[in-house]
Amino acid sequence: MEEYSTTVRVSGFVLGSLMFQHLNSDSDAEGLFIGESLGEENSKITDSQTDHIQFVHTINIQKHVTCRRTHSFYNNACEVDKEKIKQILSNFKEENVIGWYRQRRNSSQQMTLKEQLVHQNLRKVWPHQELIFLLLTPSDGTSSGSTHRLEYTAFIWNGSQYSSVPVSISNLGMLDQHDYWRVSATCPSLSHCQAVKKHRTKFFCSDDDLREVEKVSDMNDALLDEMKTVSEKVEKSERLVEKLQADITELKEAIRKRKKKHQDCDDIEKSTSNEPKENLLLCAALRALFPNAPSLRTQTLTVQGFPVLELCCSTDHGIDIPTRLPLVLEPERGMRKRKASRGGLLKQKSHVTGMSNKRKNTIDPNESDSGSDTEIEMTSPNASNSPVF
Amino acid sequence: MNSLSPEVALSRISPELRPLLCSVVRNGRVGLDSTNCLRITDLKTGCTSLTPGPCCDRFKLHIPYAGETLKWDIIFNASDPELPPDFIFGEDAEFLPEPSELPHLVAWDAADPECLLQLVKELLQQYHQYQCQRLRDSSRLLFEYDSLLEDPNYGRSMEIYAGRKNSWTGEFSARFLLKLPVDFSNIPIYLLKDTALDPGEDVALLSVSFEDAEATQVFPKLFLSPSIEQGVVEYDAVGFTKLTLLLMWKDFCFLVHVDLPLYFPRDQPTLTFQSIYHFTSSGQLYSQVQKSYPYSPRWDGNEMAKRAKAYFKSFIPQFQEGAFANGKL
Repeated sequence: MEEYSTTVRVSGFVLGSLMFQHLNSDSDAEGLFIGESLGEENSKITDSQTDHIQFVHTINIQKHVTCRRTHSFYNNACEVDKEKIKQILSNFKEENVIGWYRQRRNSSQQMTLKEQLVHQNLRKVWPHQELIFLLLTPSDGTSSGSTHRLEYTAFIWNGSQYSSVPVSISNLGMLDQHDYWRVSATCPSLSHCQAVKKHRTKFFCSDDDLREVEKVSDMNDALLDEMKTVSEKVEKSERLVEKLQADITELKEAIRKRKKKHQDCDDIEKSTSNEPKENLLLCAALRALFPNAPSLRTQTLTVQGFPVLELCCSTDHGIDIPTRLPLVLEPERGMRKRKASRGGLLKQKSHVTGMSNKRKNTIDPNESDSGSDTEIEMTSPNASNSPVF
Repeated sequence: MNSLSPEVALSRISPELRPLLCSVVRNGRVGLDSTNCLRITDLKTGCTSLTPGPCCDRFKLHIPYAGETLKWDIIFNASDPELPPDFIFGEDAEFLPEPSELPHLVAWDAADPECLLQLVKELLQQYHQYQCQRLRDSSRLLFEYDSLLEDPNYGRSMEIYAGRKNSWTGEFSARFLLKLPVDFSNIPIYLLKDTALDPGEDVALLSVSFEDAEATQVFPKLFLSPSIEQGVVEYDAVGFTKLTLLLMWKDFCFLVHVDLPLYFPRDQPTLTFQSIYHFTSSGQLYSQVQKSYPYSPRWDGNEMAKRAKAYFKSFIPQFQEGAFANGKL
């Protein structure tokens, strides 16, 4: 929702001086207004509306320029003479003209035929400026003449007709103090303007910006440049990191593939060795003990339980029996001794007992002696063909 | 509203402006209703109260138009009487005439006493066109206007006032003031107490008020100029079926009552001649009723009046003799 409003602002002393100048004149008076026109857009958010835009157009009257007589810048047909206006304005610029006024004694607050035509023609002269017409109508308040009344109304063309706009008088103290001043004070005096103009360059740049603002703006630009440089560096380093991560990923992938390959090979090996692995030590022990019985070194039996001779191991695995399998040799020695004498069994028993006693002595005395005499019974390698596993 | 006599108004006006106003207040007849003069009220000055008088240079001018009275403010500048006046058109704030259509404004001549009056007439013409433009709000009324415009009898003798739309009801009203094309050349000389007062042109005006935009409520009203009204003793202002005229023939005054029957013009009107001097034995005014006289329903109004007038001339001597013979003074 959009809302448009126009307000005329004039300081108390400007309006007062205008009224005072003409109040005692013996005829109607008219003149031009110098000032500025400001536009402001306010956005208000309320509970009922989230988008309420208000366009406020403020016309500030700063000075009036009086015409010596009426009809001084227009003819009987109300056609405006621009040259005469320039003469009236003298040192003031045309673009600062924001309207005109007329004081008409003892008449109604209504625009006359001429005033409407003149205003229409002034708008044609300055089509880009919003012009106002201020009508002042002094009259006698009482028949005795003790009280006088001065009414004033500002008119503006709103596209189809002339309408009145509110006139706000800004004095030293404003009654509405609760609002922030969003526009600067209006209607400065001539000396004020001169003083400000003299020292203006210390505070303002050529384009009417405050110098501090320019400095801050420069610093902001410098900061932005620095940020830009740093951003470029960060970007480069990030790209490098990204590349390195990509390399790492590649290497990991390669390692993973290689591992997988090795694992596959191991799996293959494992899968092949899931077939029963040969017990090399047993095979060596059996070779040592029964060198002439290769069937003992078989790993495969038939369904009936007979060894498959073709799959018997005939390989010498190169195992050092005395070192790796010392116990294999002792029964061999025992067997030779038994062959030598049968009485050797007791010795063996006593040897074993001695060993066990020895073992007792060395072992914890609390440990129970589980073994009675251990009898090692050794059978002849040729005694039986049944393998014992 | 302090209505001032012309002399009082002129005495208060600034001397430089007096000639201009003189022609307005004395000879100021504008529009169809020329019987009413322009009036001036609310004389004021643009000078300070300390300025010695007479110094009034602004006033309200009352202008009869289409049965209404326009109240326009006219503002001069006493300290600069050469300048043309300014105008405020009362409630018609939207009325803005083109200066090119106001030659007496563009070429204002303060030395010409008729200049202001001529300017007012030009403004009134522009005002009439402005009101006709406003009729476009109602197609029905615009049709009525266009129809009258085509009629040569009324085309140039018409004043239109398009009233404002009622802001409550939205109703739009209008009034047409028409000058009836009647020949008054044979009407007897106007008899007035004050023979110095000019009664103005003989005119019969018909005011038709449309109370709504669809013309469903129409109220006609007849206005007669004083000279005509003086000759008309009375008439039926509602149905317009009766008329009583006071006529004079060779210093013999008599009344003629015209009664229009229900089926007029098929049926012939009844004419009753009545002497104002003679009474019958029963104390009534001596009268004679005539129902058969030259008449045709195919005649128009003017022809009927003309034929009736001719009949009067032929019958009156006979009536007069009868009144003298049979009536008592």
